[in-house]
Amino acid sequence: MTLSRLSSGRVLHVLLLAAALTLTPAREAHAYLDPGTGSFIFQIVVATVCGAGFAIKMFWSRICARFTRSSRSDSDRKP
Amino acid sequence: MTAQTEAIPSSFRDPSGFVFRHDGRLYRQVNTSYREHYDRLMASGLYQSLVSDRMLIAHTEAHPKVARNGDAYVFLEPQVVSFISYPYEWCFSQLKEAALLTLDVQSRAIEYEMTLKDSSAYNVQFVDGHPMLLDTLSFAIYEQGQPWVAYRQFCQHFLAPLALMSYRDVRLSQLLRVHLDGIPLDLASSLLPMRTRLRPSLLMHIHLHAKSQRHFADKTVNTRGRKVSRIGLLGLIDSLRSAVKKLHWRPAGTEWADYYGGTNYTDAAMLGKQATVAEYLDTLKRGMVWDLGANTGVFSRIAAERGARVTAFDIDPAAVEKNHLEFCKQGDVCVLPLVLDLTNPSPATGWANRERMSLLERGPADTVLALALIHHLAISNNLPLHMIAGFLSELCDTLIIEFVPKSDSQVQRLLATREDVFPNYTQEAFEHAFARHFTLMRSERVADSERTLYLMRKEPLRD
Repeated sequence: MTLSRLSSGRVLHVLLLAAALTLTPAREAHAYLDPGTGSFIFQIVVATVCGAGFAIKMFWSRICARFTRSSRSDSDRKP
Repeated sequence: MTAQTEAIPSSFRDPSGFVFRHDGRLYRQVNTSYREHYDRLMASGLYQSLVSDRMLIAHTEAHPKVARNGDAYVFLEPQVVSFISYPYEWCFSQLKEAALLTLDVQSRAIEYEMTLKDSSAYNVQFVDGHPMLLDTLSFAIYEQGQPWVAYRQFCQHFLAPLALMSYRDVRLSQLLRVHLDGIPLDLASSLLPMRTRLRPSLLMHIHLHAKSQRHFADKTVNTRGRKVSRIGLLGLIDSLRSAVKKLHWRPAGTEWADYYGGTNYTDAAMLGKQATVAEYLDTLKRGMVWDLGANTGVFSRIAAERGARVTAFDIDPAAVEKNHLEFCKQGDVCVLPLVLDLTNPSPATGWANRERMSLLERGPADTVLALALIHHLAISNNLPLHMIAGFLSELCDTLIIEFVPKSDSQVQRLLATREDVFPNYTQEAFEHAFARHFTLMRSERVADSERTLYLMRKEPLRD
């Protein structure tokens, strides 16, 4: 948490700049809400972080599920 | 719109359609501009999936006899919600359940290649204790790479108030009454304690989010065409869900079981009061009942068991929380508990003061229960009896009210620390004040107490 306190603003600026520079156009959405510029750009950064976390979480849960399944089927096979 | 057709004033922001009342029935017009999205909602199976899981209010396509304007694609008649409540009237768990519903709907929508284009807390209503999405037009076809346009709104309408209620004070939900588009994140960030910065989800979705808003506030950035991957979008929803799930609130230092025990009733008096209220309710039509100052909801339950649609109001968020967690569970009767300060009831707010209805506009109820309430209004809040009678006559057709005399220990407790400036607080004055607005039907002394229960019917004002 020291990182977030000392340099969260700087890290955020770098990430926001990277997001603003590297992104490519998508089709226009049917939206009436103003997502807000700060929120919109921020979401792009956050979604990258959360997406990576989510992918790891999904991967891990599949591994766990496989082990659980195989150990369950092992115990099912026991007489 | 004809003389019998009236547009609902809260339904104007989204150009996809609007809600109106015609000949006493509620309809939603779907505009042609929304056709593609509506057809996808209905044809993809998303609508059926959400309705069968009680996540979305059901509708039928209708043909009201209204002058058809060029914009209309189809008319819908939605299932009617018996009482419209607002987020600033909800307890902590109600707001939390509404937040989780919104995220669950969004996850389900993505499975069907659609997305929520808004995430307003006002789009959620409680039906039989379940939060349900009210707005059929909240869905849009999901385009690959499209960010969640309602992310800011979700944080403002749900995450910020929940975090403030959980970490700072539950009464901060009342900020939603002032900030109709949710609590500004810079305000939430400044009010939240430092330790919330140690919670990664709150650090991210509130504190850094607020910083980003501040950073871009005076900058013009072309945001068209910025992409968020599908896994990124799912990760964002998952992160918000986990942030919301980790927020909790309980009244400080208490256990639910002993939170309420402080009444001055003997068992006989309580049983007698319950029997009399039940007897009064049995003589009335089953309709909408408002229990004002509902406390533990004992009398709300009696009304609900008789088939009434009951809303239980209380000023104490803890009482409302307890009632929400206990009512509507499996096999139990259903009551909608809401937070309300009767001396300052929810006003008409929003655009032209017509966007969100006042309490009065949502009435009148068929019956109001005002039990063990009059002394709080007359003595704690210095309200003259004739003003209480006048206000209650605007709220209901039939009134069941309890008079608590000055000699009662609860009134004595209220007077213990202040001068008694209430020479007119007498049973005679009470009856006289209420006789101006109501006809007395019945009255009974509560057994083993000095209190009296009255059943009154509203009548036209006499001079």
